Amino acid sequence: MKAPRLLLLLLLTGCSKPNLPEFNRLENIRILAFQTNTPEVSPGDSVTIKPIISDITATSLSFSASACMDLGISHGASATCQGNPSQIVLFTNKALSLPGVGESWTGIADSFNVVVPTAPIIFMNHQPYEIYNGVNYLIEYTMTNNQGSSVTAIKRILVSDSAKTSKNTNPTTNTIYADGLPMNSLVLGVKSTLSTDLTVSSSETYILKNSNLESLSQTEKLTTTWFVSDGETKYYRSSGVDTNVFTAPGTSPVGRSFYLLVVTRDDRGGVSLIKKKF
Amino acid sequence: MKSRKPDVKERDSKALFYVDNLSAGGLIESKIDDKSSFLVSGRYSYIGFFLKNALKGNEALDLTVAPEFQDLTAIYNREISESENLKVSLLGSRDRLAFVFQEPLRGDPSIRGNFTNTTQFYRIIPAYSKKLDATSSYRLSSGIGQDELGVEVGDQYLKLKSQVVTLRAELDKKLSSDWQSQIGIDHQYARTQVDLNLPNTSGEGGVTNPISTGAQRQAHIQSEQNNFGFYSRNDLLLSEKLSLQPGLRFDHFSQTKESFLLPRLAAKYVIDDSLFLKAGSGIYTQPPQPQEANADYGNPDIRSPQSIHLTVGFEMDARAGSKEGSTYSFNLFDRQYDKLVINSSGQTTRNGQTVFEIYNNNGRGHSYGAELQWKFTEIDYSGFISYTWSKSTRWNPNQPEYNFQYDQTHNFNIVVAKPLANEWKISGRFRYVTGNPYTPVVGSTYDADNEVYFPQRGALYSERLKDFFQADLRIDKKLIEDKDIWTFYLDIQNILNTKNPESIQYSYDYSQKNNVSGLPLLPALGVKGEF
Repeated sequence: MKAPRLLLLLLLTGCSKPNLPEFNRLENIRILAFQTNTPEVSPGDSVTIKPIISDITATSLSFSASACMDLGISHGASATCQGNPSQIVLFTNKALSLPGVGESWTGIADSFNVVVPTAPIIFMNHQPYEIYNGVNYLIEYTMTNNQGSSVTAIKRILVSDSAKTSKNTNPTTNTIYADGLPMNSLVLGVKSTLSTDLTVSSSETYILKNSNLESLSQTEKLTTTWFVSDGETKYYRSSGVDTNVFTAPGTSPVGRSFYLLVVTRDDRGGVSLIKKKF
Repeated sequence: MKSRKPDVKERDSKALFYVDNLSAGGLIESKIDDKSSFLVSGRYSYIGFFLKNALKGNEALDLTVAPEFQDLTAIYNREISESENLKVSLLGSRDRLAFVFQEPLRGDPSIRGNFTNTTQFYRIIPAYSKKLDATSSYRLSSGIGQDELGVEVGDQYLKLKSQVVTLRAELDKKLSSDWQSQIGIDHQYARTQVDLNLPNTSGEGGVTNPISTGAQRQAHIQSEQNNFGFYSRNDLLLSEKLSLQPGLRFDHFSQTKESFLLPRLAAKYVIDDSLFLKAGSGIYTQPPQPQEANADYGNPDIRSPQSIHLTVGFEMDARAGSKEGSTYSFNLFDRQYDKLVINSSGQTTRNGQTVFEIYNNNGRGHSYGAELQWKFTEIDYSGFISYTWSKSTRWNPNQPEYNFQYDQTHNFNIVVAKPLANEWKISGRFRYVTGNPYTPVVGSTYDADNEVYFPQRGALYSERLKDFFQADLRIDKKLIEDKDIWTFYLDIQNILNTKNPESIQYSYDYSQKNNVSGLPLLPALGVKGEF
C-alpha cells in the first residue's frame, strides 16, 4: 500500500506553497513566449518571430539566435542548436532596442525573420503523416542583460506539406475584463475576477493524421497565462474561457509601472498577447 | 508468492482483529473438520477519508473520491491423505485515488483536469503436494489471476490489464544418503492489453523532461508472453564438513525469442556445530519490461539483461542449543550486470525506415559490498542489528561510470524489544541509510511552446540527498483473559520528527530548489483482539 504514503506526502508538501519563486511573477530576466506571424508554415517560407520578454530592472539587453533542424527533442535529444550540423547562426550579441520612455523591457522585443528549409531538407527521413501534421524547425534564442544574467529559450516552427491549406493561426484576444468590464486601470488593493474575450469558439478544429494516414479531428486546447509584476493571481494559468482572480497590490510600484501580460497559447504553437501597463 | 497454512492445531478456531486511527483489519482461521481448515484475513485503510476532509477547499486540487486501500487473503487447506495435501489461496488488493486539478498543473500546463489512479490484482493459487515414498515427493502449483493498472490525467491515460497463468511442478528425491535432488519446470503465460495515450518522456539521470515535451503516442498494444523454465538443484554431501549445491536452469523468453542455460554453484563448509562457511555463484537473467521490447512503443530488438552473482560468507549460531543467545551471518557479495536496458535518443534503421531507438542494451553495472546481521534473544530483551556497506555503479558508452540511482553506502538497522512488568512491552527501531544519489540540475532551457523548462543535467547521480535517520517506537499492553488477548498499542513512526529528504522540488526554471521531506511523526493508536 504505497498510495497512503504518497497521499500523506501530497498533503504535507504538495499542497503547501513552497518557498520558491512564483512562475507568473515578472521580476528577473525572462523569455515568456514567441509569437510568429503564422505558427504553421510551408517549406521555404519566411517567418517573422516576435519574442515576448520581461526584465523589469535591466538597463540594456542583447540577444543571440540560431536556427536548426529538430534532431528529436521529443525523444530525448538535447533542446539546443549547439552542435547540431544544421545550425544557422542568425544573430550574436545583438543589442535590443530600448523600451519607450518610462517603460521597462516587458512585452514584445525586436522581431526578426527566419526562412525555413525547403521540403527535401526539412522533410528528409520523415513519414507522410509527419509531413502532413508538421515537422519542427527550431529557433534557439538567448537573451543577456547588463548584469550578466542570461536565459535561453527554444521555439518550434511547424513546417507542414505545402499542399495543406488549412494551417494553424494564432488565437485572437484583444481585451482583458475585470469583473466583466474592460480593465482600464489598476485599483489598488482590490480583488477582481479577470477574463479575456476568448469564447468557446476561439479554439480551432483541425485534422491530425495517424501513422495509417487516417484523419483524426482535434480541437485546440487554449491556455492563458497571467503574468504580473505586482499583486497576486489565484492561478498562474486558466484553461479555455476559465477566469482568474487577481488581487492588486496595496501600493503602486515605485519608479516603474505595473505590468500585466496575458499570453494565450493554443497547443500547436499559436500565441496571442494582451499587455496592460498602469 | 508464499502464504502460510492455517495454524489451528491446538484450537478449533482463532481470530484476531485490529483497529487504529489509520486502518483496520482482521483474521479468522478455523478447522472445518479433522482434515481441513481455512483462513481469511483482510485489511482496510481509511486514511483517505481523513485526507479528503483535510484537502477540502484546497485551491490546487479537489479529491473527488476518498482514496481506498484494501487487501484480502483467503486460504483453504485440506490433508487429502497422510501423503497428500491440497492448499488453495486467494489473494487480492486494490488501491484507488481520484482528484481534479483546479488549474493546469503549475509545473507542466499540459497536465490538467481529472486524475485517477487504480491499481488492483488478484491471484488464485491451488497447490497440491504428494509424498511418494520415504525419499521422494512432488509439488504442483498454479497461479491464475489478473493485474490491472489505470492512470488517467485529463485526456492522457495508461490502462494496463494482464491475465497471468503460472504453473510450477517440482520433484524432490533423495537419490542417495549424500545426494538430494530437485528438478522442476515453471511456466508463466501473460496476456497483456495496454491502451495508452501518453507522451514519451526522457528521464536520464532520474531528471525527467516535462511531459508536454515528449512525442505523443497513442497505441493499443496486445501482447502474449510465454516464459518457460526448467531447473535442476542438487545438494551433494562430499564429506561430513563439505557439501556442494550445483544447479542448472534453462529459460526461454518468447518476447525476445531468447534461450539461456544458466549454471549455478554453491558450497557449504561446516567448521563445527555453531559455524559454517558458504559461497555461491551463478548467472541470472530476466526478460525486459514489455514496453521496452514492444515494437510500437519501445525497441523490438531489445535483449534480456544478465548478471553474474558471487557471494562468500559465514553463519554462526552461538546459542549452543538454547533459545537464548546470538546468531550471526556475514556475506561479501559482488554482482556484474550486462546488457542493461537504457533510454536512447539515437536513431536506427528498422525495416528500411529511420526510427528512434528509444531503448538499447548498452547499459552495464557493478555492485559489491558486505552485509552483517546479528540476532539476539535474551530473557529480558531481544532484537537484531543489520548493517550493509555497498557500492553500486552503472555506465554506458555515452556516460562514464556513475553511482547507481539507489546506491546506499551504509544501511544500518537496529530493532530491540523489551518486555516489561504486567504485560507491558516496549520496542523500537532505528534506521540510518546514506542519502540516495541524484543528478544535479545545472541550468535550464525554456520551451516557449509548452511553457515549461528543460532541465540541463550535471554529472549523473553525482550528488546525494541528506542521510536518512528514523526512529520508531511502539508501546503495547496486553490484557489476557483465559484464551482471549487484548493488546492496546501506540505505534509512533518517526518519533524524533526527523525531516528526511525524499526528493528535490525545483523552482519553475530550476534556478532554486527545496528538499521534499518524508513523513513527519505519525502516531497510530489502536487495539488488537485475539480470540
